[in-house]
Amino acid sequence: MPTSTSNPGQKLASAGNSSSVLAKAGLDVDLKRIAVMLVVGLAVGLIADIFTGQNYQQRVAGSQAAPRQGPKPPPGIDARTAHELSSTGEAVLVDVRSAGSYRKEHAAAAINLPEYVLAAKEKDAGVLAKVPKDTHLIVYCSSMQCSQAARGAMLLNTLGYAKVSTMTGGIEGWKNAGLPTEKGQENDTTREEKK
Amino acid sequence: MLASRWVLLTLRLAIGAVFIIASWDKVLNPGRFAEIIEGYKIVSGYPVQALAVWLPWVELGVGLMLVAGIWIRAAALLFSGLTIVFIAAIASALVRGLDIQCGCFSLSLGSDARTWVSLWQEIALLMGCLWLWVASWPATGTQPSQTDK
Repeated sequence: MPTSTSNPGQKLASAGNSSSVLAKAGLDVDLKRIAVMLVVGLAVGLIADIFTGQNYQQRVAGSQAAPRQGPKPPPGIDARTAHELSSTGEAVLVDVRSAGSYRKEHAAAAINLPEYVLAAKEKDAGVLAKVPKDTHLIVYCSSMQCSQAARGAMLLNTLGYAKVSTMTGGIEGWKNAGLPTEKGQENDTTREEKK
Repeated sequence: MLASRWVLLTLRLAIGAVFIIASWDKVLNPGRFAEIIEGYKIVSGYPVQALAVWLPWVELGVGLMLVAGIWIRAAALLFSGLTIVFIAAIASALVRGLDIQCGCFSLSLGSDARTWVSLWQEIALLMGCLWLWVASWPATGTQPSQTDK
């Protein structure tokens, strides 16, 4: 009577079964290790926070506040007032969204200074070089929820612009108010940034 | 040939280095990373803060493990899972037309074009992670490390 190992078919089936069992066992081990890595990652994060003397919520808040050192958050003004000030030449609108978003659509007469360009202060020789320091700047981003406008406004403060406001509602608020928009090319600063 | 020891070693070191570099800015600036996560409009409030502090450390730790050759298969599988989540988040943001910064490899750059580039980078990274995971099984490829035995 032939044994199970002498039958090639049974041999293959047995090999197949054992390899699938091994694969399952290997996957189980991987999943357990992943769980360990996730737990250790969380633990290390919390320990790091203890060493910095803050709990993790405070650390998040502290980091968010970091670029806002210096002047207090600038006052917010509504889209219609911003449009009036811009159209009479009393203020300049500053779009701090990305160059791509600016190209698609922006508030009429707005200049583009992406927040990340402002953050790299050496880039301020572009568009800002043509804007006097006493100009009233009105900064906006995409919507009511976005935070780049407030951060950009404070960065402008640090660059020497004392009169800076944010436009509440961003470009969405501007469009909802039925105010004019333009599509167009990015300006010098963002072109330099791309190079 | 594709699963040769040297190819896998290079891939493992490259992926590990990418995740270490990608995590560093986030580890140092969890608040900025939290804002970027919030920009995706997928989660909000407490989970955003938790992710902003947790995720970078996982990326950093597992990236270091991959470079050191510890638990390679599990690390590659975890990174595959994370990368799938990142791809889904970026793709959903692009579909919804959100003006976001990717936050994938750096917290300081962002534009629509870069988000598309980031999507392709993440897809390439996913391919690499999956390849590393599959090739690290003893039955299917060269085992790059004794630690996964």
